[in-house]
Amino acid sequence: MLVGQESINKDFFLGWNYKEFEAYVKSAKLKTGISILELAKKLGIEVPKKEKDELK
Amino acid sequence: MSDCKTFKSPGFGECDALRNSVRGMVISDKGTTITLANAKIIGVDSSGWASILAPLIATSTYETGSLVDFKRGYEVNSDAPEMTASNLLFEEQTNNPAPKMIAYGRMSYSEYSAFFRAHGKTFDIALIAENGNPIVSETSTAGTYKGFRGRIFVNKGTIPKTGADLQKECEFRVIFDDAEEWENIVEIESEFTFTDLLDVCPAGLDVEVTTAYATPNVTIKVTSRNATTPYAGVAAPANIQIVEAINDAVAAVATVAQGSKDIGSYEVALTAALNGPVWARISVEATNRTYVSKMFKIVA
Repeated sequence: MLVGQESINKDFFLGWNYKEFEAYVKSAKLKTGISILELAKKLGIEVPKKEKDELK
Repeated sequence: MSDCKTFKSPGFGECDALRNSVRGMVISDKGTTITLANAKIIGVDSSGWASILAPLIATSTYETGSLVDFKRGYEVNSDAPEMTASNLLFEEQTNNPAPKMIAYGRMSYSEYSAFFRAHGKTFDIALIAENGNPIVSETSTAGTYKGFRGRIFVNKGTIPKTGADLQKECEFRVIFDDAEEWENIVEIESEFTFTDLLDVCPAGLDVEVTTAYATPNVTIKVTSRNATTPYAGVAAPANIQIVEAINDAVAAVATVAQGSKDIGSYEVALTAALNGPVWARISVEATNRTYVSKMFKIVA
């Protein structure tokens, strides 16, 4: 799937938890044009309640 | 068992013209077979020779064979069979040497170097005549054919050649391991020319790692083979096939940044903390053409 400038392999992130996802996306400096939280939602990664509240 | 077989007179045909010379070979993975109907046609996707050389189906379906053009030369160098005379001077053939050949590929040296990794490996090898007719071995399954089982040796680890010798630089020595497969030789009357077969083969890409892997990113530059034309078609992570990796973790491609594709440059995010070497290859199925690169070290 294409998000911003990034063509993403959705399967790569299957089963990831939010914390490791956040750390990976930060280190990879992905140019998606959206926040890590929004990207996590798009990829079906479960977002913990604290971060969900931040998203609101 | 003896070599005895029933023989009856075959008679004469209307024409005794020579057949066409051998022009190339299809090096296919062991066990690759093709039906008579498919062997006659170029085909598309999962039919004809395209199913072996360039299946335009999905990024997960890769070719199982590649074509080598012998226009730079081909010779058979099989050993003569041993003829033994008894002490009563009764002479007969007492062995059946492995058929062998040397061919000189019409390709760039860059392309040839990709075959270094095939050195000593076993393949099923079909020959192709100048008129495009495949020369294959009949299998025990009715209407199904295969290449002849053989090993390939290439000219690697040698000093580069010069002058007229350059024509023989891309050398393929092939030793066929089963003489009986050659007894089942069949030349199939095809509906295509050798050029048709060349045209269905994947176009080559060159890949250079421009920024080395620093977990998890690596930047690659993709151009048309032996050219500086940028290649903009690496549109998805599945286009980068991880072929070989030594890591316990699965080495995979997470993302491919498209921002600089017009100059053939892609920032690729891989599994984090990989140890090298990790070998990859680009494989793209465009509308009517496959594009592939040689294997390259995406993580050194």
